Amino acid sequence: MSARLGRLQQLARTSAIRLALRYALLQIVVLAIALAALFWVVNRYVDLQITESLTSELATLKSLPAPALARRVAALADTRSQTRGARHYRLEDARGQMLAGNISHWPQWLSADGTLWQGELAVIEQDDPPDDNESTVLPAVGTMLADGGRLLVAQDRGAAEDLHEVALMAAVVVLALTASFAVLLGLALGWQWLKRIDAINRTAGRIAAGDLTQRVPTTQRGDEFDLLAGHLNTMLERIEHAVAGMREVSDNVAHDLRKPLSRLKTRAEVVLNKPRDSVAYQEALAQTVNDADELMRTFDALLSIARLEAGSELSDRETLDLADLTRDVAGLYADEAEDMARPFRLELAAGTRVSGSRALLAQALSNLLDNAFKYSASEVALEVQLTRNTTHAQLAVRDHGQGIVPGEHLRLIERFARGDAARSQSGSGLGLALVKAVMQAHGGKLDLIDTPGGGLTAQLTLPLG
Amino acid sequence: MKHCLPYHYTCAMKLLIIEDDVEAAKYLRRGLTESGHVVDCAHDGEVGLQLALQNDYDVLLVDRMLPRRDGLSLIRMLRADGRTSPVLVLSALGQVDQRVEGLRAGGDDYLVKPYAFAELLARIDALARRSTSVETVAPGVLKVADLELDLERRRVTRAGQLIRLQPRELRLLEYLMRRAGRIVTRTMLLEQVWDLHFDPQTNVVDSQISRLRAKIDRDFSPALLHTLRGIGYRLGNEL
Repeated sequence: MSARLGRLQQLARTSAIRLALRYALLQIVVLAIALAALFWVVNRYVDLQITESLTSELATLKSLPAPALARRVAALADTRSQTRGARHYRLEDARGQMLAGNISHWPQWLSADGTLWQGELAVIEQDDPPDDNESTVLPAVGTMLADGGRLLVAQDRGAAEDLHEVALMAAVVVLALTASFAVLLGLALGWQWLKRIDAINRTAGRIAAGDLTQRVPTTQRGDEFDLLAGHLNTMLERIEHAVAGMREVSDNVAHDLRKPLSRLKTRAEVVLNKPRDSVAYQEALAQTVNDADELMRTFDALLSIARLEAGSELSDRETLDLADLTRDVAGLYADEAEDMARPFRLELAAGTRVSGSRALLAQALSNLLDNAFKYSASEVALEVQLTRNTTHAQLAVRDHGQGIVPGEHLRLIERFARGDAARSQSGSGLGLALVKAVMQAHGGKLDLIDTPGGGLTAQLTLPLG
Repeated sequence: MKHCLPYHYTCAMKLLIIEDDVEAAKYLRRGLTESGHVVDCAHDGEVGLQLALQNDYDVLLVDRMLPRRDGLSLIRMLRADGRTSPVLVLSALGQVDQRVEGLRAGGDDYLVKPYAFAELLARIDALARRSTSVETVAPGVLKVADLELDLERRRVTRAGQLIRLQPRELRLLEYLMRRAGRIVTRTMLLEQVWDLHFDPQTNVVDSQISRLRAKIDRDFSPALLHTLRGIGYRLGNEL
């Protein structure tokens, strides 16, 4: 019961209901004004009709000679006072003495000038005693007669009164219907809105309680609620992804930082276990510094990846020539390759403009080159090739070495994944994961594909800026 | 009064460390004192600012996050007061935009924690405003011993003989010559010569140095480009 009451209160607070009520009120006011105007016009029309007929009767009576006039007025007063739309008469002489008719005295408000006036008239009912005259408000016309007497004709508003009543009734009915229709419409709308919003609220509640897999239900209608739900769902998708990423990162941090940390700690404890000479201490401390450096590198790489995957906007985005950047970075490696007598070829499509972070793109390319140098024999030829089509730039780092085992390509891009060749090498296993994160932040992608004729090609695809 | 040191760094300096991690400040002070510098310490921003305003330090080491007054506001106050002492910002905030923020506030260099101690020493050395052994024989010409670099014509000679350098090598040489007699670290080269803000896993830096050395040192004596193991490089007459 109280739940239903709460629901009603909630409904009363919805903007739909308020809007409907406001609209209903406005409609009622406008309609009332229109009806009042109609009422007034009808009144005017009736008055005109009455004036016309009273004036014409007055004119007819006036034309009769005096004795005939008195007889006629008496007869009329007798007969016409009984019918619907009854007329009442008073004929008096110059002294104000009534000669015929059924109005007990000449009203003060009525001047005998032939125009229509309206006011209280004391009509003598035939059945009643003469002192018990009732007064009614009637329209009346009076005129002066040639002999100094006055003649008055008044008319009951009977038919006009009916017309008023009917008009009033119609107005009330129309107003009531309009108002209740508006309120009902508002209620229905409010109910509908509340139902849709409730669905969103329930989902939001479950999400707030920690279930990030919840999605706002949508319909096929494609209305504003579906639009809102769609946006909310996209946002939720993003948040869920970010949270999952965060969870994965913390798992990985726990795993991959714990390993070198425990190594570092064990070494320190073992060295401290008994007195040793200064050379042993020096060696242990030097190794500790190395371990700390490695920890820092892993930590930095994890942080960079997490930050990139969290999807915040690149802070130092600019439009840059990828060919210049590649020449700068790969040039350093080309020199090193030359020193090692390793074949190295650099092929650049000049003026390839992309939008991105110089620092991050340089690091991505450098990571790929580091890998190529580390994981292929020193005589294996390397190529760096920058090409572009109408929409994208492609930067490939290609080696002509052994390549990798089929099926490894996708796995190697994951965090901490390391190929067989890398087991004995130093490195965090985060290099390619970082490259992938950098590419995603730039709206591009990283692909590992086999070089035709053997070897591995790491290929970056970036939208042109 | 500056006296000369036995180690790679030539002169003692008066330094101020403003760092709220007392333990870290203690070791930093010990390391710097053992390297021959005279070191003052402050553990919050207000005390640090007072010390910096009252004394004349050669280099200030300022942490960014400090109690009572943060590091960047401290630097702004100093600069507003007309103090030009070089400031090295030490911070755990290492994003590119955070570095830019630090340098805009008036810092002269920015080192991200944790850093290698040798790196810190080299950066302090690089910041100290003292005369170097670069001789300016003519405007636009750098000279170290008998090695000359004409900046306008991009021409290098040693003992009068023309040496042909690639543009990349020329950039490296110019950087080294402008800092002749001082230590430059791998990181400084990566950041300031090649604009790389990370450490490549391969030894591209060594490779660049040995290429340059082959051109400017191999056929001449004495050697000018020295490698200081585990620390960095220095261009100059004596080791």
